[in-house]
Amino acid sequence: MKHVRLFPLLLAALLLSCELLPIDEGTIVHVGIGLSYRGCDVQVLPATINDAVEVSLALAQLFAGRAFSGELLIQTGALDDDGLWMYEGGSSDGVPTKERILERLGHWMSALHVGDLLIITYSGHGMEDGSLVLAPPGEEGSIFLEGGSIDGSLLLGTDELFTLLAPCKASVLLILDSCYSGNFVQEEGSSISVVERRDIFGDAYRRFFTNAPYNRRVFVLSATSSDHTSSEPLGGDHTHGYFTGALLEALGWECTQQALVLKRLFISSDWLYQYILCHQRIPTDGRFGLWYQHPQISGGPLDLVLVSR
Amino acid sequence: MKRVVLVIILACILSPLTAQAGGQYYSLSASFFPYLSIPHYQDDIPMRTAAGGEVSIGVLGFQKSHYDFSLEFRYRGTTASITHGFYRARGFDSVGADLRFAYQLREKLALFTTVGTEINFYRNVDSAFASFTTSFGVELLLIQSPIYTLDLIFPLTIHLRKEITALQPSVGLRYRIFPTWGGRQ
Repeated sequence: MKHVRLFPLLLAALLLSCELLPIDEGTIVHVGIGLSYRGCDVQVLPATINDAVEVSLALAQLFAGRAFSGELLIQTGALDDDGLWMYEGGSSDGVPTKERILERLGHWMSALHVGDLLIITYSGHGMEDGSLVLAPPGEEGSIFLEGGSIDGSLLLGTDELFTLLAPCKASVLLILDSCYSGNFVQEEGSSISVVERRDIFGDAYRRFFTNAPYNRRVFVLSATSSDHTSSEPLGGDHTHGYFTGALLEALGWECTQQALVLKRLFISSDWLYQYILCHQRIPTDGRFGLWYQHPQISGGPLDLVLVSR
Repeated sequence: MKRVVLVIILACILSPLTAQAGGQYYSLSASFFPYLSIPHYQDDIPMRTAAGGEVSIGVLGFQKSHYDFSLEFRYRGTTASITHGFYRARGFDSVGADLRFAYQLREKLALFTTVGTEINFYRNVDSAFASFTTSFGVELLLIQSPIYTLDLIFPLTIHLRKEITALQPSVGLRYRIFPTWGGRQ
């Protein structure tokens, strides 16, 4: 019985783990990117600017009282004398050209340290390989070349972005509301996604015996899968992409008041994902047609916690 | 996968028919534990703490002299860990199977060990992973009747995940029912 009495003591000793020790709260930085493509030669996306601006405001209010910095890079277009939309030019302040985005991300990556968090949000077009379609650097809003193909120099691809973010010491949360953005949710070394139908049993054991390591550096929350589009409502005075609309709701944001009206006690990447799945105003299941989008999230053992009160 | 399930079902049905009278039993176990996960990857802290519980159903158990062998199917539920910094370990649900071997040291004391494997499903995210489990521990006989026994069990379980090794110092109860003969010898 002496051994039995020792058991609770051993248990208590083990439970006194490192999590109970206080830590310094890190700095949080948000880089919001949104492109409406007004004045450009591609389909205009009116909701993206609302998405970028309001996510930025919501995060600023969510992290009020903490070390927080926010930065917006948006392409809104400009009205000419005739009241027509024109491209404002890549040299205008805050227009998200590829060069400017890489420069700003590079700046924050060198400024942030272990224990900090960099949140990157993107609302705009995405190519079939997931590449983000950024603003042209010149004064013309030409995204297509004369031959009809897209200008590759305007694209920010998955590999390019992950290579850029690889040396970042801080944690990174990448939130993407664009077509085919599931390409950024790369399967990591330890778990498998079960969104699509697959041989879970076989694939999970095969994954166990691969050499691919788990790397927690970049958490990705995407609006849709790697083979599907991401949508926004076709009409309305004040619209959001379906994904970002639900994301804002999850954060506690109220559009009419332009403020956070709900103080959530707990918000994490997993919680946001689950909330969006349940509340986005478009089906998540494609069995009955193409009118759906299924958000995706990075796998692995960790959940990224934004708020824990 | 279907073939594996079929073989297990057939074994569960046919094995009791061939068992020696008195040796076969069914069991139900439940235990609770802190779940202490030690990452193999670079993490902010050396260990993350969660909690959980598991229930096992033994469909194929035999007892012979001082030895005891069983095949058990198990559900394990593990909570998310305590938040530390920007992270917490995800909670998950597991379903799996174990082979269990026990050796009776004294009238009321036995040692046991298990080996098993399971598929785990992270909660809230559509993601799964495979893992292996081994445990060892002691069981103390609490109640014995001609047709059943109730034991207090103290397993120390090691959950072998690809990127994490987790320890589960557990406490629980194990109920065994002997349809053809009673009790521990």
